[in-house]
Amino acid sequence: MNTAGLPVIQRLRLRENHIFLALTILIGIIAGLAAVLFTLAIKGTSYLLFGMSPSNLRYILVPTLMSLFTGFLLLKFFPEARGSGVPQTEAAYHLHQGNIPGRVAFGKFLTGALCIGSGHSMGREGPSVQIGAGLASSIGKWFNLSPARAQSLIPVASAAALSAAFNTPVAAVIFALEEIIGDMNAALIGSTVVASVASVIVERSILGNSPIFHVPQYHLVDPAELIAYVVLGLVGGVVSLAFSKGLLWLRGIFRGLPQRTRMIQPAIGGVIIGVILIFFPQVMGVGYEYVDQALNGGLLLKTMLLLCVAKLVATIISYSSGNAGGIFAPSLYLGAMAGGAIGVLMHRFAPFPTGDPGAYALVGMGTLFAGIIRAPMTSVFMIFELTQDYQVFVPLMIANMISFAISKHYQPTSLYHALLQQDNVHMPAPGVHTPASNTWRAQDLMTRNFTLIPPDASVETAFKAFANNDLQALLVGNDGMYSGLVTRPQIEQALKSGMAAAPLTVLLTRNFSHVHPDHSLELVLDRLSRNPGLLPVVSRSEVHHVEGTITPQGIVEFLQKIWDAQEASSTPNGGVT
Amino acid sequence: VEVKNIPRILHNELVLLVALSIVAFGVFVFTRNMAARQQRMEAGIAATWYERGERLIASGQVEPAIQAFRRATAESRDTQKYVLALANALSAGNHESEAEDLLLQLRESDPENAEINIALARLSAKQGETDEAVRYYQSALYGRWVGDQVDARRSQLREELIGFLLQHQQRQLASSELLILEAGLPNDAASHIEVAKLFLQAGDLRRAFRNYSAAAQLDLHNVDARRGAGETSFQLGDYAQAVHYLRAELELDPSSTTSQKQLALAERVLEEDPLAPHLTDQERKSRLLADFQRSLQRLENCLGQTADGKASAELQSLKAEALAMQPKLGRNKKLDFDTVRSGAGLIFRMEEAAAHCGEPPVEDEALLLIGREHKGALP
Repeated sequence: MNTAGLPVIQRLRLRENHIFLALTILIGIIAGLAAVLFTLAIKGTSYLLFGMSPSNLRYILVPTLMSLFTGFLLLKFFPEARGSGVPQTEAAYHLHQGNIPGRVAFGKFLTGALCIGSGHSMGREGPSVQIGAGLASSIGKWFNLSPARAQSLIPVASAAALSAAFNTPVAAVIFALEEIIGDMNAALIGSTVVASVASVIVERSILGNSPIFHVPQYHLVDPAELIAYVVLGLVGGVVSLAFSKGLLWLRGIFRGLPQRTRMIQPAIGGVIIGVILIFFPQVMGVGYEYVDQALNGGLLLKTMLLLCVAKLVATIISYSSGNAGGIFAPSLYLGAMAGGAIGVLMHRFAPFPTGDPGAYALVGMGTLFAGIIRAPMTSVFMIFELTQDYQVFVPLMIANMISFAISKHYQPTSLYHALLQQDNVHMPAPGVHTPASNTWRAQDLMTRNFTLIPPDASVETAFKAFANNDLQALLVGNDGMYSGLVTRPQIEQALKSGMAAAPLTVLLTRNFSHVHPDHSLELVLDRLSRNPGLLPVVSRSEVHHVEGTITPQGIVEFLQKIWDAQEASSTPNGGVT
Repeated sequence: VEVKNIPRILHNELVLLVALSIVAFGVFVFTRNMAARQQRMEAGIAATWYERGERLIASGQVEPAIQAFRRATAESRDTQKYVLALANALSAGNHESEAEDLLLQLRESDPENAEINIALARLSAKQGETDEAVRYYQSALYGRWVGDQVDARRSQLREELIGFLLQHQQRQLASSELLILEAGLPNDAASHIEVAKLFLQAGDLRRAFRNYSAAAQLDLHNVDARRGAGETSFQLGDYAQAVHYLRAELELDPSSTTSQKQLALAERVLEEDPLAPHLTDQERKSRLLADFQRSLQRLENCLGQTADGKASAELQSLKAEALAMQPKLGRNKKLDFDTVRSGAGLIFRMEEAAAHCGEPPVEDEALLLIGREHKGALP
């Protein structure tokens, strides 16, 4: 295109478009290479550490000692590399304008390969996404891209990494849109497709064109068989829920342990995993070879049931104890085992003809993925890409939706977002958080001039603080981090009761609402009506960090200013008198 | 400011892009090498597991062998040999359903593969699915074979199929396969003997003899070939051939009592047959008289032992017939061929009637064989 006649700004913008396109392809290739290298590193580590026939002692020592080492690395150098990587990538995209520290990709690669390779029951896809996104973020910084461009590299790299890690390029694009961006209509679809295709080409040229699983041909033997898939959906929902609740519960317990134990927590998980591996070596690492066997009818009913339970427990322990690895692969593993088991039972006891158990294992994979990861469209496309058979759509959608509905009903926040919440990070809910551009947000309404009273301050000190203003509540905390609030009636009552010298911690209220800076005026008013006249505005990436406060008077003053300004601008002299 | 910066920005971005591309290419080459190295390592591990599985299965440890083959297929799932070994081990460990699933998947991708069809055939045979087994055996026979000694292995499989068919009383199909097998036989005694045995099982004595005699000619010192040729020719009623081969066998293995007895019987048949061709009248008459006296004697002895009224009456009737015939066989009478035939017929009936009086002596057994040989020509 001839750009000589265009203005300078337009030419620069055009150049940025060209650079972004080139970067998209390059990032697709680099993220794909990183994902392939990560896969190879996991396998290599596993062979190196376990050999061909590991002894029971080795089963226990390898994950324990390796987790001790990675625990040290994760605590001292790479705290962002714990867990899956998908929630962190989502947070980076939504809350930090795509900014991921440069060390994260390296740290995730190292700790992920060591954790998964040393036998922890975790997946490689989530870490691959974080590694890819981390590299993309660094590259974006080198190119000094605009914040919006740098941010858009995150889903692009995520799609590329997943495409190479799981060999399903279409599902990878859907995953980036559905899970990372949270918007299936995102304008980035073109870039993610380009990166995903570039990545999968790289992956196939290195590892060959062999699919990740040998998938049996899918047949719906009888329309009545759809009933069996309803059962599979119900079971999938229950297993998804057990997994999500169990993971959050145990992670909560680990997080509740004293801070000084953080370094050895992964090793505690390592010991337990070692014991599980003695009895069920099949749950080690990613475990796709056993998923393949379940898909191809290579496992007995009892084996599948036992492996389903063992994998569920092992993954919960590995993840909760703070190791680095994902839940993408474990959810597929659980689905294959649960689905395969249901398939065998249906084959034996259903009063109608049914297909091979392998077909149920296949649909089960999608069902558990939809229930745990909460990305039903990704799940459908992923299984479709594995089978390349349209017949699988209807049973898959039935089972997926049932599982998704059960999981969502009993665990409204998705697992990835719930994990972030445990880390005090609040992600915007897709579709409802973004106010229209012409509405006011909490950041417009809040005042940054607020008082935080230390928790060890006395009731009398708080009373004095109330005396200087007409606030109905005050935030309690230190260094911009709040731990609760106290209300004016509480303080007055305490004084009357002779508790003037008592510390505020005895009165602290923790059960109240907050908003984030991007929340709309409507939501602010709604939440303010539930609070005692004070609404903290907190950071999404650290919900205890107060960025400002909102009071009813503050809103009135803000609106008054706006109206005054509008009135002034609508006067005949254009507001100039 | 922006206009001044354009060349520098362009320069920097281009350099960065080129540098990144070079780095990406370097990482690509490195990753590719790593992947190839790891694939070789995986192939080595898979081969080790496979060999371990083979050793375990050879020592009869089926379940550990299954585990070893599972590991081999997990490491290298595209290696058909490992999947086949796993399927065969599963079948041996009575996990037929799983083995069948594996084999059917393999067959789906390679329907003409002989090894897969053989495994399926054996599995179906084990499960008692005769038609399926035959279908897979035939698919294997006419499928694609790889490796060494294809013809020999194919013949062995055909023999296995024939054995299976005979076991399931499908003689007609077995005979068809035997004819194909015979047509492609290598020129060695052992192969002919094997085929002869199968023909014997299929009830085809003539082709069995043909192969035994071919084997005897190919290997002059083969006792089994001579014995087989002798026995089959004896059963075919070709006593001259039987005598020839049995004598030849006993030259090599004089201790065989069965062959000795059979030889003695065959020699008697040859010596006592009054209807044998190329005899002089005198010789024919002499044989007839000797045989007649012998069978009458046996009838009378039997009559003395028989208390049953009906059997006794039959023997009495035959004795009366014999006594009536006796004058016609006088020493000085010239016998025409019809009289010889009638006399031989009576001798055969007397021997048959006396059969219920216990095991006949070798002379009477020979008379019975002579009667059976000429049954169609006797009145």
